[in-house]
Amino acid sequence: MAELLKIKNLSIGIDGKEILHGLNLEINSGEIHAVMGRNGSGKSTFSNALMGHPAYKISTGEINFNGTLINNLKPNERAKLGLFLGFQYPLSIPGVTVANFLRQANKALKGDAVSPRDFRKLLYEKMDDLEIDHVFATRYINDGFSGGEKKRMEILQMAMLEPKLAILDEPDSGLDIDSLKLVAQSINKYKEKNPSVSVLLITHYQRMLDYIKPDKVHVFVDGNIVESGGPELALELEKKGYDWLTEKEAVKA
Amino acid sequence: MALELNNEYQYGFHDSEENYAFKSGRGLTKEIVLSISKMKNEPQWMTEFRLKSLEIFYKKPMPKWGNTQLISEIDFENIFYYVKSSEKQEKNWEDVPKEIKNTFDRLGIPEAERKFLAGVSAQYESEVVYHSLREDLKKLGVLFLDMDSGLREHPEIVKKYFSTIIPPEDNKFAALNSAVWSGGSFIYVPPNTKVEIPLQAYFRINTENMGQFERTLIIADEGSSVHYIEGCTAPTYSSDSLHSAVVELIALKNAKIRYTTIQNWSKNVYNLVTKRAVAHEGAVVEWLDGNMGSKLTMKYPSIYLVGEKAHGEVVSVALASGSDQHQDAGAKIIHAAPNTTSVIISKSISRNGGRASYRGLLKVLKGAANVKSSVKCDALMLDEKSRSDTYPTMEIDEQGVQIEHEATVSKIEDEKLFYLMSRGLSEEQAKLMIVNGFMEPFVKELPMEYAVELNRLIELEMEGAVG
Amino acid sequence: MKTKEKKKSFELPSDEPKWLFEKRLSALISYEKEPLPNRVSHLWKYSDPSWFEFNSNNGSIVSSEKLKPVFALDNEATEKGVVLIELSDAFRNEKYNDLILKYFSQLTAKCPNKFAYFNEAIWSSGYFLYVPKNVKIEKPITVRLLFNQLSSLEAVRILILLEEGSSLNLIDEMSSPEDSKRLLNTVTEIFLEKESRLSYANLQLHSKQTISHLFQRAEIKNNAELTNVIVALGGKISKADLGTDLCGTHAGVTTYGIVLGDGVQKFDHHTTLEHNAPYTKSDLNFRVALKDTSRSAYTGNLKISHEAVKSDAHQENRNLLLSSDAKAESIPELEILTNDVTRCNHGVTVGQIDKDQVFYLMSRGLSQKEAEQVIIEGFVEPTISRIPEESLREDIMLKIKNKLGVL
Repeated sequence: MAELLKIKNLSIGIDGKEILHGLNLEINSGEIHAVMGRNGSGKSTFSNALMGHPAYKISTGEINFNGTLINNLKPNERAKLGLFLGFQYPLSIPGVTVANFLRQANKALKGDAVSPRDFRKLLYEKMDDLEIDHVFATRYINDGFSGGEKKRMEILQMAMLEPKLAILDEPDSGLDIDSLKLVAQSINKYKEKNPSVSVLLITHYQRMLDYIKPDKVHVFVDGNIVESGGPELALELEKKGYDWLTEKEAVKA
Repeated sequence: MALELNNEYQYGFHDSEENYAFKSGRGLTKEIVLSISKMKNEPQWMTEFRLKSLEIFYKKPMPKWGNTQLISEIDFENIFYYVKSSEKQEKNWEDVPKEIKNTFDRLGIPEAERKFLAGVSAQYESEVVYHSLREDLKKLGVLFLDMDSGLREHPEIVKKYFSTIIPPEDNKFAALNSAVWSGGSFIYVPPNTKVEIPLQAYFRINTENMGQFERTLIIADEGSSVHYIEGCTAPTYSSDSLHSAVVELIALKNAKIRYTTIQNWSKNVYNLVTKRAVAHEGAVVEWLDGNMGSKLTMKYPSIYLVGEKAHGEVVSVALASGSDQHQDAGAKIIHAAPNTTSVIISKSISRNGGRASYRGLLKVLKGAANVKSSVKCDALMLDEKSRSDTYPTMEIDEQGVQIEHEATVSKIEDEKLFYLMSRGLSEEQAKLMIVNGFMEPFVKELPMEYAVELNRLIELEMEGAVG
Repeated sequence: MKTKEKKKSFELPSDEPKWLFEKRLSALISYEKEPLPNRVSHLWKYSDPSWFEFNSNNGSIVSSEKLKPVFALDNEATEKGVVLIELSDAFRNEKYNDLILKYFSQLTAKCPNKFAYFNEAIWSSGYFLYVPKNVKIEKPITVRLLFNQLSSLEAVRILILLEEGSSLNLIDEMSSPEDSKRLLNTVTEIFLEKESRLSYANLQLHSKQTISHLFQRAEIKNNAELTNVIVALGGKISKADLGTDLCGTHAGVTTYGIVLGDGVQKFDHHTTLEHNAPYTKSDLNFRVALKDTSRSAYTGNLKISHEAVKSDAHQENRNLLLSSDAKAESIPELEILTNDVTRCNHGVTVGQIDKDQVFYLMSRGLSQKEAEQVIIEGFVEPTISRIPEESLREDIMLKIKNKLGVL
């Protein structure tokens, strides 16, 4: 399988403080990777840095996406290459409707302008998949949405914008079990339709992985991957907790 | 250089002034006032009203609010107070003098009329040069005339209402307008008549150092409704022009008036306008006020809620762009009767050294029990050179009230930019999207064509906003 | 020689240093030169300046006896070098000459004000408070200024100086006996040096005949913090002009205002918060409850200068009207000269007492008066509960209850 994302020795800091220390990761086309770790282990720093958040500065290392070095690319340029970030805390943009926003984003990414009618049809289809009421198309982005609605809206955006790599930052946090299933199903559905798409799923609970089967699981501790393995690693973590790895790390050091 | 071109004011062209029918000398004298009145063949009471107003203008000090520095720079001696571009007013675009027609063609007025207006008035300098009203509305008894014709043809209505809401004593610029007014619109909507499609007036200043003083009077009789839209542009000259209108609205029992302004004067125009409305029992008055252009705008549309259950609303946006622009706009609502309600929403954007000020007054008079009002002022500042002021005064003399005021000043948050850019929008597109979203409460109230036009204006103004 | 004659008539202590006497003279000249503020000018729309003027029309005569502030410093404070003495004593004591010269009238000089000039010319009482570097005093110090003499004009001058890293809780309690009629002019200057912290409360409990003008200015340096509590319960007419200059990085001010009016009381409060340095923070919470024909005007001016990037400013003014003859004006003024603000917002509400709440309370056996009392207490509670010192909170609540009890 073709290599899609290759990260070499990546160190990231914010406000002069280093959070990620020399991280390495490779993701091939079509693979699902899960990143697990405690709060504060650097997972969100990692996802923000991958998408090019200006506050996160790369001090060393390389991020290659689909053969392009993207270290210095702006977020929209990364989006154009096929990267997508589903935010842990999606922001609200009052006054801008979901439909308008997605239409403009779609145009920016794909270049061609779909007719408003076709676009609406497509949008409604995807909304139905996610059991999102059509009325949300005319609501302002995330404005007054519940936690679950915001999370589903992120997945809707992914389905509409069709990325090559979807980084989903805790798509499960704050969801009840029904919403969680729905979100997982939509991710799976998108993945089935587009088998070459890769997913980087960031979570700190195993429960999401009951529905989305990862090919690989990585564990974050203190700003680096300390352990990688198959799906069984997630189950082991569920049983033993993170301390087991922290101790292991201490022994190594 | 491309950036400069983008930012150029697109209505900045001007045409030759050689064919003018009449142009007064510079400066303001009793003789000029008399000759305006004489040329218009006005009744004696109006001539006297003008002369009295001139005296008041001479005596009145300059306003002590707003940008007192800038208004003190106005040279009243250097202004042309009356310029007549054409001998007569036309009812067909074809008959409008070619030069003027070209101007309005370039501004897209005839096209707009065909598409979505019930009536159009076009004022060029001091006089209305074109006027039309749909036949069906005429038959219903709706009057839509320029103010001069209104005075000639319906003296009894004009005399009953003219200057009753804004007397010349109100402020120096209202006095000036009262002395030298010319043009503007006169509208009367008979009882229970609903004018569903907007009426539009278009104002154009062409001459350098011109003073435009139109006068508008709208009376909506009991149970009627009307929506009036005005737009304005001027050429870009190196020296300043003055636009000082007086607008009076009277909404009788259960009537509804909506008055929409898209002000886009060039940056050499002082826009000092007095606008006031009276809402009687159950009536609704809405000012939608968009200020994009001018050098200095000082304008605070007011509503006097004098009848029970009357409702007033002022929704405004102001864009102050560049250190040569100050938008000092706001709203004034006086609750003078019980059970009245009001809403003020003000949105301002300042960028590139521009200054946007909100100045407002909310007053609840004694006896006006059970009043509800909400005032919301949001300012968006796009860079560190710009300035935003908010002065929302509230004076409450009655206990049975529920008043809420909120003001925020903010910038475009980096996190929001990142969110939008992560979906593929460029920084410029993302900023524009946030700005458009910010203005949405205003824009969504406009007829579609105007909303599109306004968004386009903002886009033009915002181009090159990144960097 | 008119001014000199006038000066004489004030019968000021003759043992003052000469330079102070000269200063008084020049302030008197400034006072006479400075015209009365025009009613249309900023901050004078709701009060007539002549109310605060010293003239024979309002029967003002100058005190011949000096008012004595009452305070006590405990041993700990004295040992740590805290100074709290009458201001006139500080002027006579050479030990404090340098400090006084450096700080006295520095803040008033920045903002010319007719009534501050007047104060500078004739002040006779007041105090000087000094906290040395790194001295922290936990136990609150209370200064009582009880105006119990018959004289009808008092000019009080207060100078507070906290050196670097010091910390103090201070309460000024100003009161006068119920029937006394007087004109009071107070000027307070507060200097907070780097990293110092002052919690300052001004409790105004004057008689219903007192006319008072308070002019307070504070200068806050890097990382220093002022908590400013102003409680206005008494007086016939009280005008307070409180200004804070956040001139050091990370300087902060938190303001809590409580006004309770009844009868014909008039209150006119202004706060001016100037953010003049990066990362400065201001938070203001001002609550006004009015009965009968009382009225209040509150002007909240907030300025964020071009330099004050990453500033955080929040203002909230709530007004409760308990009678249809009461009047409340709220005049927020926001002047923002940089877009790089962390937060800047402002909110005002004006409302009446909720009749359903009154009914609910009455159905539980409270009289209407008691019900209203409970509601007013509830209205000011959110502000009071945020005041850091418990003893001060209790004291303020007690005074409010006292006032409500006699409403």
